[in-house]
Amino acid sequence: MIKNLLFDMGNVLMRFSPEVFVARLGLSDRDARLLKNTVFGGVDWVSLDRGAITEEELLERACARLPEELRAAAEALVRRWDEPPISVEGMEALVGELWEAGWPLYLLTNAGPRHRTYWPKYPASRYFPEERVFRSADYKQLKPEPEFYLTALARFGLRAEECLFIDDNAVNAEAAVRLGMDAVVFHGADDLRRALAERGLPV
Amino acid sequence: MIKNILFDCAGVLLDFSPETVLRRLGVPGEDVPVLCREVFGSAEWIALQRRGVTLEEAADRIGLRLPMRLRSWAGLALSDWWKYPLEGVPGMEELAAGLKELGYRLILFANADRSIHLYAQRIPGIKLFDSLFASADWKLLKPEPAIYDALLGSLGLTSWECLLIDAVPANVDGARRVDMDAVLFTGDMARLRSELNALGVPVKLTGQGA
Repeated sequence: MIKNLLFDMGNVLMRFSPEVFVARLGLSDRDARLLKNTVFGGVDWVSLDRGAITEEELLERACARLPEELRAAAEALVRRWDEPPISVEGMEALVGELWEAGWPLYLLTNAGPRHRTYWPKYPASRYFPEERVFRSADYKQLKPEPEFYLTALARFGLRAEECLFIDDNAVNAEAAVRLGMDAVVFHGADDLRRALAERGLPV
Repeated sequence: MIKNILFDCAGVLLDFSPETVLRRLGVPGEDVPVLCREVFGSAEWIALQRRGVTLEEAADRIGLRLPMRLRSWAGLALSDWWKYPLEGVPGMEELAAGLKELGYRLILFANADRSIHLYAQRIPGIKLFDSLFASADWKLLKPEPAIYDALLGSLGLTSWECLLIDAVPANVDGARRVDMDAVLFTGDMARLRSELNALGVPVKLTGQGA
């Protein structure tokens, strides 16, 4: 029986769209693509989420691969991609309803250390108090590795079979199912409402 | 010293496009996006690659999320997608041939369901390969550390003799976590060739698609 709802953050509760972030900088298409791929498209971003490198190191590595004239833009992108914050449509309302109905909500996110600072700026964050946030960089574990989920379950004192995990990434959802959770691949708030209703949640 | 080059399948050796597959199966155009999402973007599709479900179970579960008229399409997409022409990533076969000529052992290291054994011989460039390691055979998936260990163990390799070319950043990260060299392939053949060189694999810097 589902008793707890575990949410991914990026592209579930908040919009994480490198295309949109880069477009704000007003660069040529070619520069925008290069910058986007260099900053977000490589393994360094994964390492940042794992807490294996800092934002400074990520920036340094990116700048080493970029022409000089794009380095200021790279810094703006790395440090301020979340300005202004963009929410996923309909999700603040949906998690608000679930919160009001008394469902325990948890956030399980692949995110770097700066998450602590930017996440509170997103309206949906008020339904996820810090003690119910599991941030990859803090534990140096990443979805979809089993250890990430097991550590999170242990930290929150949850049983896998009582959890529904919601993530836009099918690989992360499958990993949760593998460990005994129920999971939904997120495709927008309306679709999630349907999936929750099918499972008997009152939305 | 690197002796073995490991290739990811979809996105590196194989140009896999769910849209194209569904169109070839004959799915009406307006139904392609939803089937794309619910079949190839589903947790069941991933579970098949881990052999955590059977083809029938996966089709049943996906079917529950679909309108009746789309259920048989979903089943057909899961079971038959590989029966249509398989296209290679431009330039990759040539790169593999160059590596082979330099004496490297080539290994296909894929997150793939068991049907890979039915279509592997049709993957462009496969003749150059010495081994195939498919996730479903081991009930494991990249990027879990266990699959890299299983690969090394079963083929009798050490991580520092291997280099992985993969299209998924997390899989590259996973390889590096077990001390294996790894390169992310983003579709840029020239960059791939130059990154291989930087890691001491002396392929030519230019080739087809680069």
